[in-house]
Amino acid sequence: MREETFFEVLGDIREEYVQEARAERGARRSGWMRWGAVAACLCVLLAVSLLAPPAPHVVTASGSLTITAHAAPLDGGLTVQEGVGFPLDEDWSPFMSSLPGLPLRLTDAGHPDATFEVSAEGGTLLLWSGDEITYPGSPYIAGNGSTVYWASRSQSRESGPAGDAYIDIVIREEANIIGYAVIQIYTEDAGDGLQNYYAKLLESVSFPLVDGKYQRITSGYVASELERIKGGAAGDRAGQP
Amino acid sequence: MEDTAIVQLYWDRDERAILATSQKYGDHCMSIAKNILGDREDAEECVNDTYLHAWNAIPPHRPRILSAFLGKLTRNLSFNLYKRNTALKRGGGNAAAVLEEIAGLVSGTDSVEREIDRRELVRAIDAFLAGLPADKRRLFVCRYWYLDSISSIASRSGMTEGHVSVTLWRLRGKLHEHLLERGFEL
Repeated sequence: MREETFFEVLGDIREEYVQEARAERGARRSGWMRWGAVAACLCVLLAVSLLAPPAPHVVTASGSLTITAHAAPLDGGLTVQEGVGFPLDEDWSPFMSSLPGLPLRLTDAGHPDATFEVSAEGGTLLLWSGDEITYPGSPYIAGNGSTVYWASRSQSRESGPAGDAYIDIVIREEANIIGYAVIQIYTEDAGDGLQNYYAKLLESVSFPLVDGKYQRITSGYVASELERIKGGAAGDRAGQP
Repeated sequence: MEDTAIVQLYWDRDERAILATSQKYGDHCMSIAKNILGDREDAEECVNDTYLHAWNAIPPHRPRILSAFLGKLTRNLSFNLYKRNTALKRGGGNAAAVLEEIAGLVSGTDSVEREIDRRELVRAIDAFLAGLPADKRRLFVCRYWYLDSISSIASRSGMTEGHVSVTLWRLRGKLHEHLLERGFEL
């Protein structure tokens, strides 16, 4: 590959990393202003440390997101719990279902204006309305209460072997990130050439208001956390017999 | 003005979108263009082209991160102009040095380009970056996405120029290894 081509490929890295690299810049000052600011901060820190315990950098809480997986269009669905596979006892297979993909209904009752930025790593996201299936691309911004469908590579227009897939969900209220979640989807051979699909909510985290204000959570931070969680999950799966 | 409001101006086909973009992100785009091209006039041309391309792209596109979207347009436009200038033997900013550093990661020939899935390669690079500590990742992106000079990275990060160069060299080595392990012989 030529250097110019690789340079162009580097231009397509995740936008979160591009944003992150410049986010530091505004906060940095040069020369005496920086050292003056450091000295002032040390004074404040010293004073604050005498009065109160140090606050953690990021305050997290258990996720406020509810994900419901439907095994059939009209059933009540199953609420997915963190660390628990779903659809629980019901193996879902694209060949046994009337649905175009594994359905995920995303709701956050505590934040009615929340939006969900949904990205599929492996497989494809689908929307299904009436008889029409559309491919919204990834990431897709879903409103509160929306249902998105995930289809494996073998079902979708993409080609390639089926493998573990992940669905990243970043939850926002306006521009503020208020939480995230990761779903892992994996397949197991059900015999006769069929495969069952299992999905598992690996982790769901929310960022509560601190002193009544949104925390400044960056996209880069969330992207790193998502990759860390997925890296751990992939390692766990690789270690299974 | 909030980014969502600027993007809405584009969607409303309101020409104030360009003014709002230049006021908020003009310097951001200019620094990227100047890093690549070195020449102020060339950089201004690319920044103005960035606004035009943004106007044509939005709608239907709705950028998730407006600063990164505009920065990417500027980066691509500036690099295209850099390639034209290089063909005409005109100078450049930091692009030549960055390309030389990248040369250690690739063969320099286009014999394998058709066989490589570019999207998979980007994902492999993203995975590499995800595994780095945030300060190292920022260093890498500043140099190879924004084409910041070694001296400006050093002054911003509080490192010596030698330390920056050595850290980047190690990061390139790790990236090379990471890509080779995943079957990307570039």
